[in-house]
Amino acid sequence: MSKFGVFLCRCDGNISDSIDIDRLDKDFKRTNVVDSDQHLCSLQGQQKIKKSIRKHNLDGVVIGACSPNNHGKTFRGCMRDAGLNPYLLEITNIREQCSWVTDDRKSATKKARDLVNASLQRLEHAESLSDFRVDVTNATLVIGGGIAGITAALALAENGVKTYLVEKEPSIGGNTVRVGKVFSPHKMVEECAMCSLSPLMNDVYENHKIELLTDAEIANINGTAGHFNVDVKIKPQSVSERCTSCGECAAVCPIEVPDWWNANTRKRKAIYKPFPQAVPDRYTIDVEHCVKCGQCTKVCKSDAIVLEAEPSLRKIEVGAIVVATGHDEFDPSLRPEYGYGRFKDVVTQLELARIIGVNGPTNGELLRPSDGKPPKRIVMIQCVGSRDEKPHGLPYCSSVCCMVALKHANYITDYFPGTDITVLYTDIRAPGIYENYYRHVQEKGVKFIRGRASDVKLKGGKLYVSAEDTLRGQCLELDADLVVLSTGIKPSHGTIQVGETLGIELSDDLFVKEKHPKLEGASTNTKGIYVCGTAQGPKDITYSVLQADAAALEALSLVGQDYVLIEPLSAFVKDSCNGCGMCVRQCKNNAIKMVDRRATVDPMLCTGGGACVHVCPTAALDLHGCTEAQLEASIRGVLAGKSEKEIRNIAFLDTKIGYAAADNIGAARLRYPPSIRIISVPSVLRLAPQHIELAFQLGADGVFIGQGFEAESCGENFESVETRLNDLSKQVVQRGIDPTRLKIYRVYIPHFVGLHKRLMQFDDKIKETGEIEEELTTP
Amino acid sequence: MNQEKESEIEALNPESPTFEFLYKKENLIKCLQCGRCTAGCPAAKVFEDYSPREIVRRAQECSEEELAKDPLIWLCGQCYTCNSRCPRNNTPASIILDARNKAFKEGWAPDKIYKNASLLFQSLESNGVTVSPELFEHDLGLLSKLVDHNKLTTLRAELGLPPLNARDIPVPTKALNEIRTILKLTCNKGGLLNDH
Repeated sequence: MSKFGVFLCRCDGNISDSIDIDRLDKDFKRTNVVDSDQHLCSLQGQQKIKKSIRKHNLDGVVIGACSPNNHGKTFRGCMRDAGLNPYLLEITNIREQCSWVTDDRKSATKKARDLVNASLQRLEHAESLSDFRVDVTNATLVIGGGIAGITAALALAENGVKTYLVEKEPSIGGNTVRVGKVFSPHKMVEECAMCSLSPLMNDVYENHKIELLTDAEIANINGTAGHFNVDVKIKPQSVSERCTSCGECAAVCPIEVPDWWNANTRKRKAIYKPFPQAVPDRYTIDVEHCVKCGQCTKVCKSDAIVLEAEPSLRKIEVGAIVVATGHDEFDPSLRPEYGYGRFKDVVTQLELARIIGVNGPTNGELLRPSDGKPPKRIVMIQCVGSRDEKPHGLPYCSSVCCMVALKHANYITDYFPGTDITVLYTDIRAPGIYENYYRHVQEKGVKFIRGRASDVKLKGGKLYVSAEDTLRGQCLELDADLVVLSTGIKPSHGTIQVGETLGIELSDDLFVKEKHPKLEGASTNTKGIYVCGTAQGPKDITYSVLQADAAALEALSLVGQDYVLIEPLSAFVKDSCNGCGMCVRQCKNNAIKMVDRRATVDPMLCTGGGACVHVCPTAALDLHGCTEAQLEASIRGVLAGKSEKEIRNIAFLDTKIGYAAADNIGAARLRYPPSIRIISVPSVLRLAPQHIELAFQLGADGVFIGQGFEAESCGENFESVETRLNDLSKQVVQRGIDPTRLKIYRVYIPHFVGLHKRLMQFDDKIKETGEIEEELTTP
Repeated sequence: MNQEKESEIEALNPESPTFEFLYKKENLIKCLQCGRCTAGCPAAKVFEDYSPREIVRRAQECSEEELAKDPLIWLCGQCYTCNSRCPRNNTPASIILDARNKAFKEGWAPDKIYKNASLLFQSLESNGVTVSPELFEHDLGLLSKLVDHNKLTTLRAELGLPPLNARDIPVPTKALNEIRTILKLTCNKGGLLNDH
């Protein structure tokens, strides 16, 4: 028979004030090795556990302490140190889910005893597992060559790490190239963006640790933190490195298309150089528009043009990835009332940036598009597409547009004196030191009217902007020679695409979601993938660069390691597999493949949710860490010792969100009756009708299933999780269970109070309904 | 039918005790007071005191009764431009419609509203046509600024069309009977017109 140790923590009264630890100590001593401590997590406490494991040659350990979310790692470390497999450990949560939530000492002690007993039962079925070791590849991939990606790549390369910088355009530089001027709140002047960017771009080109892949996109990725295999698709390279940038080719090219680098304010040829400081410094062919007339090949003296070039695929291996895929501008023609696209003199701030840019369509002269005359009156409309909940709108504040308007207003009053500028704003957002800039622009006579413009009309050849001066309650119709729309920032097409390819979590607004908004702002929810710049959300250059350095640091600390260990909590296949392939279709992570007519799980790709386990008709699949036997033992365990007339309800909560929310209930010292017994499951998709049925057969009076609001399991989205749960509920009801005894609820961590309320309501309802009828057949 | 729909229909019935403001007041709290509604409002351009933005502000603060008794609510033309402009998906015109319904039912609406409503009712009942300008000639007031009697005729002439009065087009008997049934079931049954 196995010899188990039970270690109980008093937590300096946090546990022992509500639970009679001495009593439990006595009870468990009959069959186990028992010890307790004021602080099991302290070094002394850990020492006690380790000594005991060695002295008694234990086969497994139950620790009754705080939530495994707090010290799970610590205690598994103890096991390892004492020479015992860390997966032969069960942690019973007698603090957050017992002592902190139970009113009277007697019931708390009884519940704690039951829970420890359940853990002991589960421990009988525990298996020794070893972590997967992944050797770390000391190389990184940065996706996106804007100011954020450039910064991250340089930071990584300067620390000696081989870095691939992938950019979909023919040159790096991104949106910073197009904005022309950048605001400088200290000096109250606008500085040249290219003057800051160009040296960095050259550094990228010259750094031998950086391999620059332009005209390139991510086609496929697999692997895990420490080692990713990435396929990079490279567009046909029609102009080779022999190009001397002489420009003869563009001069003869007959095709003209709008120039993205100039915000479409001017035309470029099908063979072109994006901008004079482009890196790599050479011409490029826009294969979409090139008609292959061959004029350019005739004039090229360096023989650098290959019209029939083919796309290629490059396979790279990296340990970490930084996503810096940037943003796009909101399309103002989606707000037709502002007349963009209908009236020539309605432009965006980016187009204005090109107009006043020295390398722009007017060589830096402020001239309006319709007749090329200098505008005397300019009206700027803020929040175009931002803070807008209408279809296609961006519900958030784009955070930089106020500063962009101030920048342009300041520049124009400096260089084109006599120009009258009015800014129609909803709220001016110039946080921190930027307020100085706002005040400065106000002092220079730029008018600010608080009111969001309704529409722009063209009457008698003149533009009129309708707005309300909301501070005076007066309707205005402002005439304007030029209307400038401050369009919002939205996630770029590339950001959404890369998000999908990499399988990283995106926010509701489709930006890449950071792992923690305050503490881990440059990490994503996928280990080994980091994010920076506007791919993560609207922000200015200053913050993009700061975040890029943060992302590079995170990536460095990963690739600096020799290897990483991955928890082996994945699905596994038993001999009874008949090769039907049901599980292969179920797994959305493509972790299961057929090898020799037998299912095989790739533990690196498996996320350990367990949705596949019960689709197997021959019960050949199981999940390490939450096997059928372990799950059944837990159900049996929490229901054991149920006395007559006693009500017991099981709450199955997913580990990541539901269980964590239940811990928060404890941390807030909200109370709930001891009849509620929580079982943690990796995902609610792990549950099958037979588990629920078993719970009822063993005496559960109610079953509550709580799935995390944000936790998606086994690659399923929330809708399909919900469908699965509804099916589960239907099947359980079909087996003759009163539907009021089964409750499914969405949990949301910040709203743990909601989980508490639902648990209480459910418990009340079951107490009202009474004990489960005995007509259920026994298993 | 789902519950929400049922309660909506219940609330629509003027006889129902739960007849209430249909407009979801919870949404009003999101108003930015950005003034986009007023900036685009045709009525606000004519009537200086009238501003849908201020109606929303009042709706956030005052009671339904106060809002329903405010004479300004009768200046809205129900064109719903405010709806298409609001970045937070509010609809001042709907708030106003609710307030008008309340006012009309409680007898707080200005006398001319009842008079006009009964003219409208008569017009609908006799020949199935709702509005035609000459019905309201007695009461154009400030609206005369907006309504140019000759404009429609001029415009039609410019387009090479003969002058036409909407009431000249006969409404088919079947449709007219349906209109009369609707009137019977709503206006008459609700007793909205009888008291005035």
